Amino acid sequence: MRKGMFFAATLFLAELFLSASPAFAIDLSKISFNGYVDVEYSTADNAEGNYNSSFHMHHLSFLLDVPITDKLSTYAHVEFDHGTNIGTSSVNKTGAPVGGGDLVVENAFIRYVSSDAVQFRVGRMLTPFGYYNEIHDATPTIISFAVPRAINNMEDRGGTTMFPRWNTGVGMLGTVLLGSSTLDYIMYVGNGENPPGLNDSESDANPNKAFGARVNFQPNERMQIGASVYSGERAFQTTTIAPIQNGPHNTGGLLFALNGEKCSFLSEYAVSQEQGFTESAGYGQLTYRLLKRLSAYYRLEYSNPNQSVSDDAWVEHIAGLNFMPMNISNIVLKFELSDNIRGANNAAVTRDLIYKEARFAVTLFF
Amino acid sequence: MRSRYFSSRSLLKASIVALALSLAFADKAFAELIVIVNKDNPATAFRAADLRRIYNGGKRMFENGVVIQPANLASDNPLGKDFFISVLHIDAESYRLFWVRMIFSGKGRPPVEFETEQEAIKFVAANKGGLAFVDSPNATDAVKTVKIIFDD
Repeated sequence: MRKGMFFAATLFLAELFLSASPAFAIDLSKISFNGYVDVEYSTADNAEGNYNSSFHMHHLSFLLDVPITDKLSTYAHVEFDHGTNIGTSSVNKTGAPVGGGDLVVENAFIRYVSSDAVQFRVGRMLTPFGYYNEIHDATPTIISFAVPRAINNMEDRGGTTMFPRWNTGVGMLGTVLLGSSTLDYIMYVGNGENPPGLNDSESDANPNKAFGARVNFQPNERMQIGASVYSGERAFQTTTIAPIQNGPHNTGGLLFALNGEKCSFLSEYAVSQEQGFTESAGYGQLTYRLLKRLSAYYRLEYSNPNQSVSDDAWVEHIAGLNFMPMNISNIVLKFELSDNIRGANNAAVTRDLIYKEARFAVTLFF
Repeated sequence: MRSRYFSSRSLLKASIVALALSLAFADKAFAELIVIVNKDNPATAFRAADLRRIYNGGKRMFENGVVIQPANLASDNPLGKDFFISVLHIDAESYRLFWVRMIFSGKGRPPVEFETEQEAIKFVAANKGGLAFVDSPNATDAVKTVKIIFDD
């Protein structure tokens, strides 16, 4: 009897494999597999920065783009952040687990292209806000060591995040041609931000859905003007023992960029309002291509974590070099110096108001 | 009196050397850069601006609704370099970085890349949305040739 069942099961599985409809098969040659990895080293002149000087295995990302038909595809981006070690098999001398890092689904969405002007996305996606968030960790694509912390990482500047890094929901996007000008847009609805511990890709902490949109207008091939908005609700507490409530969180941003053959300029400014305070931030970045594969850049960042608090601003001057060492290389080397000047009331200040940092990174993409 | 430095023989030698050097270092000259599409495609000409949008991922469909499948030649191919500069107004390295950014932000897939024009022709002949660029004498009957209307 058992032998008969085993035989029947084997036959069934064999038939299942052999009869798999080609309609579900994907031509492997059409699947795109990409990724990037970067390793960093930084050092600072005092403990406000990376005074211990350390290596940082920062990003290891894998991206998969699978076309199902000409118009339907799925896109996934999984990232291992900070040398992910989330198991408990490794222990230190005291027996406590070591490791850490993050394993993050940065993007996982289904994409449908109805026309150039009308396309759809559904799933989890990096929030389309401003220039950098959708490529916030893709260091090979950015000129500097990291994206501007002003706007994109206000939690590291004594403030709070201006918009959620990810959003799970549905988006409509497209490109509209207006004579010689181009208009790119995206608008989306999603779960928005949840309190810590509640996965916003799984459920929503409040009945209101978050909404956002971004428009980029290119009057010509050299200039870009953009605007982004995000509107949702975020959990807050009036005191540490008060119950968690949801309050409105609204952010708006503007972008201006000029791209020349050798020189380019990019600037952004954003303001975010939520329960009890308003934060603002901006930056201006100038890039000059010195040689074919060597570029220099300077960026000035300004963050004001709370407009009603005086002397809490954070100013950062960054100057650096970006070099691709080989012909048609997949490797990018980056070196930058940064000077940080903070106000005495900035929440991130622990001792010194000023610190300088030197950073070096090797990034590779494929 | 015959000049020691400018004899006809030495001038001839110098000319031959100069000619050889210029041939060795000059970029290959092309007859005419043209676009090829599938035979079923009704297009007769493309403006350079439209080609830029196609190759930058901004225009994904032909007017008849067919999804465009642009093809590129490898970046070390001289014809590819010519196309990048004269039509896309960008060098191969910058174009490549542009697409790295597009890929890593989930905005699309770059044009497929071929080593030779013959491979690109084969691809265009086999795909309704196929589009590539070749040197005019190399185009075959398997595809339709389309003119490029360059910017003023």
